Amino acid sequence: MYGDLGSKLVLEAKRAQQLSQSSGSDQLPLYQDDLVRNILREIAHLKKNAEILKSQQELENFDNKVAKCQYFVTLLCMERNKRCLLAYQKLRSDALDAAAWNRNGLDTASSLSAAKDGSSNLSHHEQEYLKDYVQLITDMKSGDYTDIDLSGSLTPPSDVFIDVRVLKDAGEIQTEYGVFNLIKDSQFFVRQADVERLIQQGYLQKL
Amino acid sequence: MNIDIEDILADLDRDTTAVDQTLTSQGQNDTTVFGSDAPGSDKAGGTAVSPVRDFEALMTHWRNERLGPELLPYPHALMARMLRRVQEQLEHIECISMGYLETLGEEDDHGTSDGGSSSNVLNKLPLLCMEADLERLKFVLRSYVRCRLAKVDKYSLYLRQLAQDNERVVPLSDLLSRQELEYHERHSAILLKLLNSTILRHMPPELQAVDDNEGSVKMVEEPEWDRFVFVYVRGPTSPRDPDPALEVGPDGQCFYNVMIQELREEVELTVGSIYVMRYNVVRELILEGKVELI
Repeated sequence: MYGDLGSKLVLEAKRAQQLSQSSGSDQLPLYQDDLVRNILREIAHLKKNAEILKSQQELENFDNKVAKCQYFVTLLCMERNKRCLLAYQKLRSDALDAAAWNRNGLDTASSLSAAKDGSSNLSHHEQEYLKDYVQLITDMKSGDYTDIDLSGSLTPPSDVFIDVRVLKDAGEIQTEYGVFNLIKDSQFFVRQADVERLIQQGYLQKL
Repeated sequence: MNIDIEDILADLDRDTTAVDQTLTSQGQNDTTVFGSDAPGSDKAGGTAVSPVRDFEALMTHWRNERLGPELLPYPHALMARMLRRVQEQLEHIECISMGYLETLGEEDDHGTSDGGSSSNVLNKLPLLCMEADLERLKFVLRSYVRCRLAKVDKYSLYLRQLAQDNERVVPLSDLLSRQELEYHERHSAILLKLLNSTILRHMPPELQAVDDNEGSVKMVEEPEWDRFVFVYVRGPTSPRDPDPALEVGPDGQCFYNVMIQELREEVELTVGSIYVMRYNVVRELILEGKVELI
């Protein structure tokens, strides 16, 4: 039937959602280009049907109940397909938003492709969207809310000083508050506010 | 024979504390944690504005925002004050730590390393407390703003519909801050661009709207008005002026009367107790600050 491809797409969306919920990573699965294109083709087909029905109705000039019903069902099929497509796309864009907040808002926001290694999984419209959204976040942060770092951690600060262990060798890293020499497997006892960003970027592990 | 002299004592108390307050506030001006207020803004709206009270108000706003289903009005004046204080305190801390470095350097020049380290230990504690406090305040503000942005995202179509609606009580500029308005506009624009270029372009013209409410399913998501929330009944904000909505029961307890529409049942919300209620039942009381979400 006409809605079947749409339900397959929604099933795919649901699977992606469960995957990201259970694993906690913000890696998006591949964009279902074929499926989406097939649904769009189906919609084009339905659209043609609807037009034919309409012209027939005008030709015969009496709107019998059968033609009305046919037109209505065609419209409903298109609407259902539209809902499935929009739901899929919105779910993906929400995941992109979350990724933009979590990762790209950090100090090295410029290297977008490096931060988002699943970049090839996105359609090029989505890549454009992600770029625009990251720009929007950057603009938001530079407005009134400069002093409260909006993309900062959302877990409340409990300790002033924490122990951190270096997970990745990163050489000498310059933070706004001073220079750290990050050698792999070394430990530091530092102020939490200083290393928050390095923890989010995955260089340090909180102990 | 017992004469109640509470009011006379209170009168006396007020006289003495007035003197005390000026003394302590002068003393606090240098070290107060959230930065001191400008003297002009103290009498804004008749009630005294103090950093502590502002912080309590912010915490209430934060809790209500996180727990309520609806986007609540933005506290413009409060947030402006808070952001200004954060900035002032940042500068203050910077000044102190600079001055601290200078004095330390001088002491090192004099070669009194023992004295330097001991004063070092003595000086560090207030600085540490200020920084930790500032971090906490910044966290609350950040969490509050992020929560609001998430709601703006969720209800963006609904908000757009509100903006077009002329007979509204609260204009959109009161509901959102300037930055949130900009975020709302731009985010919905880029989202619409994405949906248009991938999907809606291929639709027949009568199905191209994203805010279509006439179809089989409404596409504009409204807040869940009858979600259940936990509420704490706080009572009137100041104990002196009586609240007309407040009623006194036969056993001397104060309560608010609210009506649950669909059950046609009246409920008494006793001051100081906790209830589970539908949001739309207590919405007015929440907006007036007589009831808090917990």
